Amino acid sequence: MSSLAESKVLETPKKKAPKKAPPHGKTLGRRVTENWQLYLMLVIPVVITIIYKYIPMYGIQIAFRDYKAAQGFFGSKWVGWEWFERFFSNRNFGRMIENTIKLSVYGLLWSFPVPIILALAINQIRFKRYKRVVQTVLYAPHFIAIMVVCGMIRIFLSPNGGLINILFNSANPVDYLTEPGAFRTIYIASGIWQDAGWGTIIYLATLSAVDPGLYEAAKIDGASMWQRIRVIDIPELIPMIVLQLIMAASGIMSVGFEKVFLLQTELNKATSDVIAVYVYQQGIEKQQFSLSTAVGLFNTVINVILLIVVNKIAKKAADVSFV
Amino acid sequence: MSDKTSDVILVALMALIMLIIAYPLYYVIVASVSDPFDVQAGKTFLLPSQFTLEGYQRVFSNGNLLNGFLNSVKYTVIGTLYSVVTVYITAYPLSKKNLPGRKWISIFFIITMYFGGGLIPTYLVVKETGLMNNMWALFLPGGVGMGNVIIVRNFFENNIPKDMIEAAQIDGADEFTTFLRVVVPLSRSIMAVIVVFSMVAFWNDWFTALIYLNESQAPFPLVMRGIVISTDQLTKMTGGMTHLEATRIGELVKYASMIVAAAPMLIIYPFVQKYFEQGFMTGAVKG
Repeated sequence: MSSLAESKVLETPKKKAPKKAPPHGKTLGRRVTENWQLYLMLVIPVVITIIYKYIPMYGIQIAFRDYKAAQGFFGSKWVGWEWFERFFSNRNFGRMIENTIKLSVYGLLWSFPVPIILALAINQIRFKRYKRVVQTVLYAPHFIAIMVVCGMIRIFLSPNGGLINILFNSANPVDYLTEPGAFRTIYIASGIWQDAGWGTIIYLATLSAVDPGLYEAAKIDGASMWQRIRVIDIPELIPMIVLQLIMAASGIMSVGFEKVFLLQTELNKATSDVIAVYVYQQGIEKQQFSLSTAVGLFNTVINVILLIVVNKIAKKAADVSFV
Repeated sequence: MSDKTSDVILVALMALIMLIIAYPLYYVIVASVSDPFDVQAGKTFLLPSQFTLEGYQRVFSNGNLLNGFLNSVKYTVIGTLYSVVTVYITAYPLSKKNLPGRKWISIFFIITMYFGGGLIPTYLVVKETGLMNNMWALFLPGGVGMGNVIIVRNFFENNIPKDMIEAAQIDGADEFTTFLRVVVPLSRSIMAVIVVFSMVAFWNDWFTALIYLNESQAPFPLVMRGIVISTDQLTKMTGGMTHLEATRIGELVKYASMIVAAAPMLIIYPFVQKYFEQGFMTGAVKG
């Protein structure tokens, strides 16, 4: 589940414990046989992971082959970079790259700070009940299906009695989903509506670790709410912010496929035509398996490069690293 | 600025933000029980107009939507069971600090969080393993939910008292018994979180069904697509009606189906909110 991406953060490298002698001086073989039940529990998860995660990874090589079902992943003819070249020479190649990057980068710039600001504000609410209500309401949109969100977007933006048109231009209704100029705004704004509240959890959790004594001391010194946020809360959040930024930046090339796909119309393609939709159309609709895999691989490689670069920069700038 | 003033501003600001978040949902609820032409005329900003439940009746009397709804219930129940079981049997061994090979097994699983085969290679494996048009295509290609495994493993390591496990094992319980009799019952709070996260994922999923299943197996959101995004289901539903009537029914069904899709998860999550916040908290404090 994509929303769980945040939890990747939880996997932080632990400090190496000094090597201990095996307990009770048992041999490795003895310890393995003693734990046979634990290994047995892992058999099913391991098998599923090999079949549906590792074999597809191995299957990526069809990006360099001319995949034919009868010959399978490994028997199909090797064609080298042919599919990549075909993708690069596609007349929409430039547009797809530009749209993908712009949608992500603008999305990141607009939506990244929102949960941080919200969390800082929520953390200052002193009325416990009210704070709970705020949090419950803010989490709600995260649990709504993307299909419903896209349905709502379509209904609110409809030129026939859509809420936005009723409110702002009832005399001269606009069909926003046919306007290439409106697509990014729609995509990004609805994304903030849906996930900014959810994004506060990780920051609120970090802030909950602040020593309450610090606030008390600051209050005695006469620090205002704003000063407490600036001097205590923000520094506490910085490592988590950097961590989240690295993760977000490394996903620049992976835009939310489902939403783009559901909001795309013939007329807004000038801005909504992105790589992920192309991968789906070529692969599933046109059954161009090798071409689609090559394009997907291209996308992944750029993401990995971004992850490495951003991680390096963060390491230098803030001495925080993730990988 | 005094603390009192800041408090007032803060409370007001949060009220405004809550309004921005909640109003679109409220508007859809109101519209789903109002006359569609009043909705279009902008008469339903606050309260329903000409109250009707016809939209909901239409949703549940339409063969395709009802079938989609029942499919979604089935996929959600089975998918959630699948996820909870696989997450638990993966997390428990990995929480054992002195299990030989633990580090390598963890790496084996964690790699799948960062790298994957992508759409087509996965699709081809699903096809080769005979899962096309099979419900299991919705569950198995996701593998084991590693985000959940990490949350549960952290919980096992930090929140289950070691003495309870040792006591059970001194009494002669083997690992299976300890797991089922001690660890599972003591981890109900985190299990509730995993259950809700999985339910949400399966209830809301439509894309996996689009590529792997056939039309009669489509879950509710996928059937809904033919109503709220395109119009193919709608045309089927309103065939033979006058234009005016077709528009009226169409609008009603749009709003009602969105509420039917959204309501179950919106009702459930507040019950486990406390637990998922704690789940993230133990993680953040550790990190």
